[in-house]
Formats: sequence, C-alpha cells, structure tokens
Amino acid sequence: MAILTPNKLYKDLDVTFTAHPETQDVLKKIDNNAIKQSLKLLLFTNIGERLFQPDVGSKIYGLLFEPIDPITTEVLKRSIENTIETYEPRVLLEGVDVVPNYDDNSYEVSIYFTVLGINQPTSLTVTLERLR
Amino acid sequence: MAELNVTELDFDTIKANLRTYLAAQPEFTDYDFTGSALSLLLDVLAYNTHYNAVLANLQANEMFIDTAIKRSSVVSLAKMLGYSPRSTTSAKAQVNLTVTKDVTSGSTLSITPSVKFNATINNTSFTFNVNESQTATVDGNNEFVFTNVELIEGIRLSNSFLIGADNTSGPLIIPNNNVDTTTIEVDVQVSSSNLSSSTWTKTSSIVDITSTSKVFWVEENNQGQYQVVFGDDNVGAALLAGNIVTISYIVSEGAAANGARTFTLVGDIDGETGVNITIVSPAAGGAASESIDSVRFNAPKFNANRNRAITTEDYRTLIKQNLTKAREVTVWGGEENSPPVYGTVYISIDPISGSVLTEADKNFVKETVLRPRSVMSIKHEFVDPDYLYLGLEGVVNYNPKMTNLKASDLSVLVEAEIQDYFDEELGTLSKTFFLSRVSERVKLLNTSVVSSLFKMRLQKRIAVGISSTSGYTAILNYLTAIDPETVRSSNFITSINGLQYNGYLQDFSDDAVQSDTGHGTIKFIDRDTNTPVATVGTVHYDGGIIRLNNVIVTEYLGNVNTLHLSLRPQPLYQNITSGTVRTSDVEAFAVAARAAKNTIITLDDSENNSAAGIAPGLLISCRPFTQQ
Repeated sequence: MAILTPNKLYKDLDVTFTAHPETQDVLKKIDNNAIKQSLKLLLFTNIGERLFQPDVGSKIYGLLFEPIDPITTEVLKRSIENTIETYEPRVLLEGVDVVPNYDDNSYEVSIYFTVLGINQPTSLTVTLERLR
Repeated sequence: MAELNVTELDFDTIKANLRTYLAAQPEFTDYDFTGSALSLLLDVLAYNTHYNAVLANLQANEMFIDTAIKRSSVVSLAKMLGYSPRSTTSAKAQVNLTVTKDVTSGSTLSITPSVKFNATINNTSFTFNVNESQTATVDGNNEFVFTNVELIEGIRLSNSFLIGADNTSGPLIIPNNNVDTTTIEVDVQVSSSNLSSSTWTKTSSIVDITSTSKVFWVEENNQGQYQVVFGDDNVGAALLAGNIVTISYIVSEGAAANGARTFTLVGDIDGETGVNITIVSPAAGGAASESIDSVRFNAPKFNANRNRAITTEDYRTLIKQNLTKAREVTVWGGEENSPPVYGTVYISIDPISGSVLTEADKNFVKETVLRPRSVMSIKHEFVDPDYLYLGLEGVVNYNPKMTNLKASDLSVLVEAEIQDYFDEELGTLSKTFFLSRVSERVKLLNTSVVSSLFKMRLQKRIAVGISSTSGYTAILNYLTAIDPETVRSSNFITSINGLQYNGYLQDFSDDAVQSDTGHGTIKFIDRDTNTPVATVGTVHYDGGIIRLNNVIVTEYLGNVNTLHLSLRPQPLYQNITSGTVRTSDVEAFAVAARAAKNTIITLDDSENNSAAGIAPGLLISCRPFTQQ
C-alpha cells in the first residue's frame, strides 16, 4: 500500500517554541502533526479559560476529579468527541476509546481520526491523569 | 492595498483584523482554527491590543467632564471650573423646648450644641444636636422656654492634627465619609505647650483674602474624602510647624433623617430632665452628597455664571446648589408683574417637604446665597407657591370584547394613570398641563380603550379668614381663559348689610350675548331664594383673572376651611402652563403681561361634598362601546 506524503496543507507553530538547529527559526508543525497539536491544545483547555471565548475547551479537567467509573468514562468520551466535532473542523472523527485504569486513577484515551484533505487514518493516544 | 484598521476596541474585531493580516501571508495557514497555536498567539495579541485600547479610551474619557465616569475625575474637573460639589447635608428641624425648673439654682438656663435628641423613623434611630446655643430666663410658670431651636441631624466628631514643617498648608484629610461640610469648624492651637487657640474661617474664594487671613478651604479629594487646605502666606495665612489643628464636623445620615418629627431628649440639660418638646417644623433638607450627574450638570453652569446672580438661570443654579430643600425654583423680574415692579427679583421655591419654605430658609437664601452675589440695588422678594387644583371629569369608551376588566375596574386604572401623570409631570413649579397628554396616556393604558373625553375644572382654595366685618380682597390668576358663566364657589355663610345669607359665588357675563373676551361680575347667590344678593367682584374671561372685593365669610359649610372657587377653561385654552407669561390675543381686551410662575398645578383631590357644594375632583366613568 502506498503511503501518502505530507502535502503541507496545514502549517502551524510548534508551541514548544523550540528553535530549528540550523535556521534558528521557530519550529513548525505540518499537517497531521499540526492537527494533533491542535487537538491536544483544545482538550487541555478548560472551558472558560480563554478570555472572550468562554465556550472553547473541554471538560476533562473537571472529570478527572470525579470517581473513576463507567459513567465518568462515558461522559469523558462524549466530552472529547463534542470538543473535537465543535472546534476542529479539519478532522473527520472516527472514534474515541477511553479505557479507565482503576489502579493508577487514570484514563488511556485513543482518538482515531482522518484529517480532511490528507485521507490518512491517524490516531492520537494520551494518558489522562490528575496531578493533585 | 493592505489597510490597517486602528479604530476597533473590542477583542473579536481586533482578532479578526489580525486574521485578515495573516491570511495574506503564506508562512502559516492555521490561523483560522481555534485549536491552533497560531490562534493562541493571535489571542494574546488581541488581548494586549484590547487592554491598550480600553486604557486609552478610559483615559480620554476621564479627561473631559462630559464623559468622565469616576467621581474623582468629575470632581477634579469641576475643581478647575471653581465648583465644589455639595457634601452630604444634615436634616434640620425646628422645635420649641419648655424646660421645667427643677434642679437649676440660677434664673437662666443654656442649651448648647452638646445637647442631643433622638428621633426614630422606620425603626431607625437618628441623633439630632442643638445647632446654636441659646439661653432662656425662667418665666412665671417656673419654666425655661426656648423657641425656634434648630436641631441638626448627625454625630459631632473632631480630629486633631499636629502640623509638621512640610505641611503648613495642609491638606488635612478628614478621615470620615458623609461629612456635612457646612458644619466644619477649625481651631488652631499654637503648640502642645502654648494652649491659646484661634478659630479660622471657611471660605470658598480668594476675594478679600490677604496673606494674614486666617481662612481655610474645603475640597473633596480623589478618595471621595474631604480635606482642609490652608493658605501659603500669600493667599491666606499658613500654619506653623507645631500647631495643633482641631477640625470638628458633623457626620450625617443625609436624606434618611428627613421627616423626623418626634424628638426625645438624650440625657439632661444641666441636670434638668423635665423637657416638653413641640415641633415647629419637622426635619427636612437632608440630602446625600451631590451625585456625579449633578456635578456634571451644575459645574459648567456655575462657571458660566461666575458665582454671580444675574440671569434667571444664575438664580436657579445658586439656589438649587445651596438649598437642598428646594424641589424646584422659579425666578422672574418684577417687570413681568402686573403692574410692573422694577428693581425687584421675585423668587418662588417649591420645597420638598411641606408647601411653604420657612422664614429662616428664605432669609438664608436672601442674605447668604443671593445678597453677596447679586447686582446692587436689586431687591429679592419671595412669593410662596400658589396651588391651582385641576379636576377632570371624563368618559372613557372601551371595547368590552378586548378586555376582561369591568367598567369599574377600568375606571380605577384610568384614575391611577391620571394620578401618575400629575405625579410624574406636574406637581411642581414651571410645568405645563396638556389635556392631550392625559388622553394619550389613557389610550395607551389598555388596548380596549377606544376613546376618551374630558371636561376640566380649575380650582383655587382661598384661605379667607372667618370674620363678620372685614372682607377678603384679592386678584386670582387662573392661568388660562375662563369659560363664561362657569365660575362657582363652595357654599358658605356671609354677612351683607348685617344680614346672614347661606350661598355661593357665581359669575354673570356683562354682555347680552356671551363673549369669551368680555368681562363679567361675581355675585353672591342666596341659596334660599336662588337670587343674587350682592356683587363682590369682577371676572376678566380672556385674561383668566378674577378680582374679589370684600368677600366676607362668617362660616364655612361642609367641614372645609377654605373657599373653593372653581371654573372651567375655554375649550381652546385647555393647556395650562405655569412657566410662561401670557398676553391677550384680542387687542380690545389686552391685559398686561403677568407672571404666574409661582403656580403649582396639582390634581384636584376633592371628594363629593354636597354640604359645601363641591363636586369630586376626579370623576371617571367607563362605558362599553361596540361598533355596530
């Protein structure tokens, strides 16, 4: 199967603001990587956090402090789906898996999606764990 | 060509402008997606621009008195115009005190500002103090009688300040809010070892102030507190290092204490506790400190009149600024009177409480407010407000299919609406009654109202003293043309040529054919025979003037204590205005211009009184009406 090369549809800054080793310019994120960075930023933004944009973000910060059980897991999944569908129009969401890890009080979240215009199935896996 | 739009203030528009800029750059393409890092950076830029724009806007606003919002800015700008905003003002009451001599050995007793009284309004207690010391001598009833004692509301406080070498001109900040600045007194003690002291005087200008004048100024600072400022040895004397300044003042509750009329003594007066207190005038004049809007309104006008009383507006501004008891003020020159009185300015003040201003207040306005600021040789005369009672008899047609209300319920609503019109738009000086406004308000009251028709009645209530010999003579101004043969008074008993008659006054047109512009006579009608007994006055229909000549009232009927003289205006003269001067439309009956500016138009609250012959002031009947 042929692997599609990135076509530089989406170009964004790297939020780590790391300098390119040769050009000393700020690094860029291209296509799927740009989208993954965008998803992380959206999911890790608490609703109400951004001034003048009170609806942007997700509820996952609050949900991590709820009892870890099937209901919270489902609510977390819906919240992630809702955030992506509302604020990331470049993504065709194919599925979200949320697996609770009862021993570590954490969730393993896998997001399966296709970036519009690139048509390459992609996934993003993050571990959600409360820090305090 | 790219344009930079710099006029936006709000976040969204600023961010949209930044996005528009980035859209033209090929380097990054994700600026339009909420989750992108570039969008985050745009947010930060937009926030920053928004902060700066708001700050610049706020600063520009606060620099002008028309747009400033913060009190400190408005007060500071008013200061440049020479205007000091009015502070909280204490309510004042007048009482008579009768103290029974019990423990006092001497024949005199003094009351000083340390004597306190309590008054309660709506379960809130207020402290009143004697404003000025008074001394009374024991009378034949073994009592000390103090008359017209002025009580001032508030708590007396004082603060002392040790003056250092670096603040010999102040400012000394009074560490309390709600200070009545008219009560501030300043005493300066030479030093902690030299106890001799002098009282310094409050001033508001630099006129007649020399380098040795012991004066002080009071200003509101940017924290909203008052500060006392002294001279600099050029304009006004400066303090000396080591001086101890004691500032005493009253902290007031403002308008909350208005209306207090029952006072009880707190403690005793030199040991005497047997005190009988009778009220002369209840507490009035208390007010909150001048609002920002009021400062904004008054300061430029104050600057325009340069603290002088020349024009009508000067007088109104000065009186309203200095007399918190004034609801409305009208001022006119005596040349507008009929006959003219040159060289006199007439002032009419509608007080907030009561119907007439006290003599003490009139004297304060005349001597303290106006005399130092007015033109030489101009006299000031007060004219008490004159009430014109306006009654309405109306028929309101309504469509019963469009409302669930019964006719009687609708009548109540209409009456309340008319009362509201009088409360909101009339009831004080310089107002105009428009009959069409009543119709409009009634029409808008309920969708079922189809039409309304009103008949007006104007009434004066004349306090004719009861006497069998001396009569009452006066000129009554009804402000509008009178409909002939509609004048009628309430019933009373009079004495004519030694005989008693029970009757009323009525007008008779002199013309064979009734003329609106003609004259008529006022006659007394005997109710027993229904015939005129005597002529007691004249009426000028077009001029709206009734002259009463020697009307004798020996007894009022129907439990009233004034003579009610009612009439109807001519149909084309049903807008009644108290703010202007009217002349005749018809040359042959021209009347001199006359002032009627002291008239307050108010709703006639008369109830049906058949013994006195007085019809209800407001009578509305609602009738169902359906188009066939």
